[in-house]
Amino acid sequence: MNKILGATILACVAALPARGATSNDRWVHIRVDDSGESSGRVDIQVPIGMVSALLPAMKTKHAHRIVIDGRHVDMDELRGYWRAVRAAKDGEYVTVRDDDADVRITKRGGLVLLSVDDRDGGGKVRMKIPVPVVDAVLSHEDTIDLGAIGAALAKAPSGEILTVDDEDSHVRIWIDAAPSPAREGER
Amino acid sequence: MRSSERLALAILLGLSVLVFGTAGAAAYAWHRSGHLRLAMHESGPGGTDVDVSLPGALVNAAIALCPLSAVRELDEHAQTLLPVLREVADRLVAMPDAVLVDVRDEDATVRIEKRGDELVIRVVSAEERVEIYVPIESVRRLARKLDARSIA
Repeated sequence: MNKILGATILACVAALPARGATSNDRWVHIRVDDSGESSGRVDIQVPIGMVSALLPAMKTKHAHRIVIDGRHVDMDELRGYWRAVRAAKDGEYVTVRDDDADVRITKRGGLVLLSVDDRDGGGKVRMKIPVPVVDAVLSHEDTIDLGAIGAALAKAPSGEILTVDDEDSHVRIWIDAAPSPAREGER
Repeated sequence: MRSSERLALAILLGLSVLVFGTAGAAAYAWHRSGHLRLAMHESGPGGTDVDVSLPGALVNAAIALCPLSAVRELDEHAQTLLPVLREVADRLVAMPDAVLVDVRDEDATVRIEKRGDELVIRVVSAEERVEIYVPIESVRRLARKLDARSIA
């Protein structure tokens, strides 16, 4: 009897960390606030583990060319730039100052930092992408390995990943240890 | 007390324990399995009011008994989604209560929330209000059944 009781207690204790690991999963939060006339908003928050589970189900074809600021950029070319930046030391790799905006791309402490500031003060973008996530995005030639992106995201440090502020909207994406309570203003 | 009386009393007590124990266990399982509920209210004159509530135990029984031979004919994409649905359902059980999706604009509000053992989906607009309560255990059972059938 004692053996059975002991085994049961041991099994319960052994099962605790597994359950805890799932319920202690970190969360990805996405918050979009429309500051224009429509005043809409979107709040999404899901455990990173669930994102990792969902991503592989999405089949995505890689575009071979993407358009940045009206200019066509070849993905192979971009992959080549990334390999060079990845192998290099931390530092500021891109600085663009023109009449419209200041753009800076920096690699620091395992993160790729992008900042864009509109000259007229209208918009501001801050992006912090962990290096493994960029690796996952650019690793495959024909497809995006969404499973690898999910796995890289799961190891990303907590904190803000993206903030975009412009005249019409405010976007914020961050990783946190717990879900946030629902915002007020429920209908 | 004679031995025959003691025996009768023991049988009576045994039966009582069996009946009340079974009833208690059934009531607990019934309560724990929650309810699948759909509530719809249309505002304005002539608006429709619908409120359907099914015990989760019945839903679970239906999932267990319902033949799903059609699953074999699901297309390839749907087949790849079944393990994902199963994993998501498993994770829903373990995660703490939270509002997963909250979208609102001038016209309507959509909210998907994990509350206790239920997934609550609520759509509210000026014209109507729809609330759906789904027991997560039922989602989990359905996902497991679909996934197991697709593998078989």
